[in-house]
Amino acid sequence: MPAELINVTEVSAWGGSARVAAEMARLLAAGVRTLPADVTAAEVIEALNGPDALACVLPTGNAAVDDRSWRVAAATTKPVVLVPPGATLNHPHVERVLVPLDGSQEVADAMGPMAGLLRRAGVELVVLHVFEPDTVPAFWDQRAHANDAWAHAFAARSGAPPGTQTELRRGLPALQVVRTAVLEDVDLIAFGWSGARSVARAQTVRGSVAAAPMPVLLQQRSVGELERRGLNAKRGDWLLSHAGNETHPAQRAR
Amino acid sequence: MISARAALAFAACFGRGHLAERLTTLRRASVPIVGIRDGPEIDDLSRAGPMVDTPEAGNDWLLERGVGSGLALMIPAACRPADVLAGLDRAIAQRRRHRVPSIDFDPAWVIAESGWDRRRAGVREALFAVTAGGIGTRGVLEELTEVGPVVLAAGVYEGRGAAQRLLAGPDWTRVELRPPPASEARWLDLRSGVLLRVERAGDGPPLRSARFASARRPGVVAMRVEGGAGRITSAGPLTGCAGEPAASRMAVRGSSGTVLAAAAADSDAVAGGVRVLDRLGALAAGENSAAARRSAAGRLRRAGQAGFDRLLAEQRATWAQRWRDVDVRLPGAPRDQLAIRFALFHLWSHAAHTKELAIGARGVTGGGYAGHVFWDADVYVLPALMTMDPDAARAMLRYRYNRLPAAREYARASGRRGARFPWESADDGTDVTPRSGEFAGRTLPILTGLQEEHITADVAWAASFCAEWDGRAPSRAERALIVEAARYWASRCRPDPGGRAHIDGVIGPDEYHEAVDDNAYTNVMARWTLRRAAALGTGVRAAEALAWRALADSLADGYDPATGLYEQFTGYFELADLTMRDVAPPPVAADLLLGAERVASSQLIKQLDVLMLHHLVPEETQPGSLAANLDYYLPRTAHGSSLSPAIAAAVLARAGRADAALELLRIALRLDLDDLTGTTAGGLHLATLGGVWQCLVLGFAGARVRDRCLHLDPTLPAAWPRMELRFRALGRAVRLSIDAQTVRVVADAPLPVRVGPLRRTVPPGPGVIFLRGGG
Repeated sequence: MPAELINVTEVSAWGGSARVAAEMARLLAAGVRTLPADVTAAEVIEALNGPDALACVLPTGNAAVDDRSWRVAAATTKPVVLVPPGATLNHPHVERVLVPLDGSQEVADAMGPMAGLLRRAGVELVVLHVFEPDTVPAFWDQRAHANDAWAHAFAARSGAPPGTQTELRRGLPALQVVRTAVLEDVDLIAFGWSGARSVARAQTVRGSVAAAPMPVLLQQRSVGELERRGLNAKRGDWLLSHAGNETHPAQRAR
Repeated sequence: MISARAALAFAACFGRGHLAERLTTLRRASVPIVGIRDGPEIDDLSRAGPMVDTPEAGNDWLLERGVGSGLALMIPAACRPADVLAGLDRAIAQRRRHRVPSIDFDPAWVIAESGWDRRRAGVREALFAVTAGGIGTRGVLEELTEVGPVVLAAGVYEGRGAAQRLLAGPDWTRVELRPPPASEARWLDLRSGVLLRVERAGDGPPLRSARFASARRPGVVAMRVEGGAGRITSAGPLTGCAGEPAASRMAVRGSSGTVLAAAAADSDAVAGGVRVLDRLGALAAGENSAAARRSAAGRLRRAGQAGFDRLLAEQRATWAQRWRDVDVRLPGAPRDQLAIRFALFHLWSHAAHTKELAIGARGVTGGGYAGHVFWDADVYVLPALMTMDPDAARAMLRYRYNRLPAAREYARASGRRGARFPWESADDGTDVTPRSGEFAGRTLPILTGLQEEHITADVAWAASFCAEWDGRAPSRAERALIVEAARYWASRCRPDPGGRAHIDGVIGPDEYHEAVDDNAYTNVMARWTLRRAAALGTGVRAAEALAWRALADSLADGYDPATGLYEQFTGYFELADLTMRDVAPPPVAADLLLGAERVASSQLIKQLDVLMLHHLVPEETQPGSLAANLDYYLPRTAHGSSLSPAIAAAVLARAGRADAALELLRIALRLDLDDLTGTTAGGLHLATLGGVWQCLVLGFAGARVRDRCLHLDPTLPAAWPRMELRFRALGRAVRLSIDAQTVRVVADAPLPVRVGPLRRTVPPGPGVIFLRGGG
């Protein structure tokens, strides 16, 4: 059966969601299966659980659709793309994606397969880390060099390929995510999260969705459909890791 | 060679004929033997593990560890002679098959990591770097590509201006492994400088590799890889960074025209389904391509004549000698001991007897900080190397001396006299400090290059330290550095109408506060420089010396006799009085936490500033001022610089607060091993490593050289009931053994020593025991 992307239509005539769905389908090499605007969360989840469903695009914008969106995102390990009202891609196609990482292995792992897929599709990834009071580094040596040194090492720790643009910020994470997304002219913000979702991470995601002028992709950590269909990340890409059982990248390439 | 007494004892147990035969075989296999003793008390061993107590365990122990220089064979009385000889025979057979050697898996000497951890891959590459002769090779896995620069050479840069960075050399570690190990462990043997990799599971002969950078033959590197016959392939011994095909000769050119050339050769053999690949390589830097290539080719030829096994034997012998001269033993503190040995290992590895030695912030273990040379080299690394390898320390000083013309020009361009050294230096000695930098999303002007001028005094201090620690008059080069620095400070000072002299608009070691006036550290170091230069005599005009002394006496230093405190800079005490207790437990990057502006408006400081004076020039500080300034400044110190914890520990030790010192030292000990900065993947923090050793020697042992006499004032934390140190001072090899009551000093030549009020000349031999507290 051909792969499909589940697209829930918007109530409004904005059409942004449909365009996002078409572009995501192109990236995933999937067809689009459209569901009506009034579909329930359970119905969306059932559709997503289908063997051929790869991902889902959901509009947000009012309390009802927001509630549905969060229920779906929480219930699936397949990528869910939330499209706030008025949100649009900045380019004709998805060219640049902002990937906020909190430094945890779980979040980096969650993004692994999707990040690899986006990279192979020619999408440029921009990693973002926002320092919070409890994640500020212990040491910051020379200001002329420390930012680059820390960013470079952070990207490597997260599994990003060498040369990935990595931005560091300090302050309120949701605010910094949206500001950076605008500044970096990205088409999509992609959040990874683990099953054990932290309250802080959820606040960051919700705050970003509420304010972002572009779609927001949510990816929960899983060995998921993308890998089942052979869309494995290659050596050098971000890889899933499981504590104590991480696979050597060269092994995975065999 | 075997001591006569030991040889007789061994022969009595095992039969003289058997002994001679085995020893002859071992010598032919290029295995020099240090000594064989009978009995449990071995002077040269410090084993953390249990003694072997059965013949079988003895045999396994011999086979696992191999036989090599530096190893004293410990023969338990219960071992049967036949079993011991059989063990030696097996070790010899292993050597004859030219297989990947083992190492001594002594936990007191080995840094071990296992499994594949993407998050630590870059960190391991730095931790496992093998370095010698100023050339470092990161500990990359043989089969991985896209790993960034692997080989770096000290002082060889590419690029221009602030964009200069260390030039990536040809990579000699690349081997295709199909399949690569699914599970493995790696060990860096600090005792021999060998990096060993062993596959843990899989079908067929396990993959093993060993590599090292020859400490005996600078520029020579060697690797041996073994595995299933069809598993190991090599496209060529050298790979470049620009995608060029593998080759046996390669050269890259730096921005100044310096060429880094490499020559390498593979040889292999297959026996019993196991392929063993030997790779020998040689790297050389030269002023032109022909010279560099010739040098590399010559080194490779001579290395090829020796072969991997002889090179390994030399490696073990050289490192054994190093550890005999410089080492630490902390009975009961194995974790601290290992971490200190890790620091010593990488410091030693960076020691090179080259024409000059540029040691950047990360050495040659990574490209972090672009390989630029900071005061880290002069104040943190050089003093440590002076106690380990004085020739290498002098090579570091030659780096500065050779850039005196550029420093004079910099001073002239600044409207000053003498020499002004740049905050960041690379190839030609001009200032390569970037003028702007990213800081969490903001582009900030970088003022360190314009204002952090204390480095000029730091270079002069390093020159003086070299001479003093050697117990000699400063050399011509050292005098030049001191004198030119004094001339700079003399022209830099601003006299006020009241006759006081000031230095305005600088940045001290605490970089949270910029453009400050009369920074205590800068002013006191400038004053020290003026006085030191005036005292040189030779090469200094009397009138100039007189003026320097007068200027030094008039320099404001911020000291208030009423409080016993040095004001870090004019107006410091008026800033918001925040302490770290109000903010967060240190270490923490307080500027990231609170914002640069908020921190700058407070009394929080990044690292030791005033207190650096008590470490570097205690004689220039007010007697008895250490405690008061410690009590004031330490609670306000964020230790947001990796340079801070180790030296703060040394200062605390000098103040008699040894337990508090150890707390901070342990942060420094783990800084790279546990990647506390999050940036060890970019290279080891050489200043931290140097600071660790300084804390041991200058801090806990309280060693100082004054007037050709070694002064000792030891203090130990409760967790270290005993500390043994080996280092060099006054041209001697010194061994200290310190416990709560005594200090035992051993030297290989007559050594004047003062402990408390007592001064003795320690003769060579069993040493002199001083009672702590006088006696």
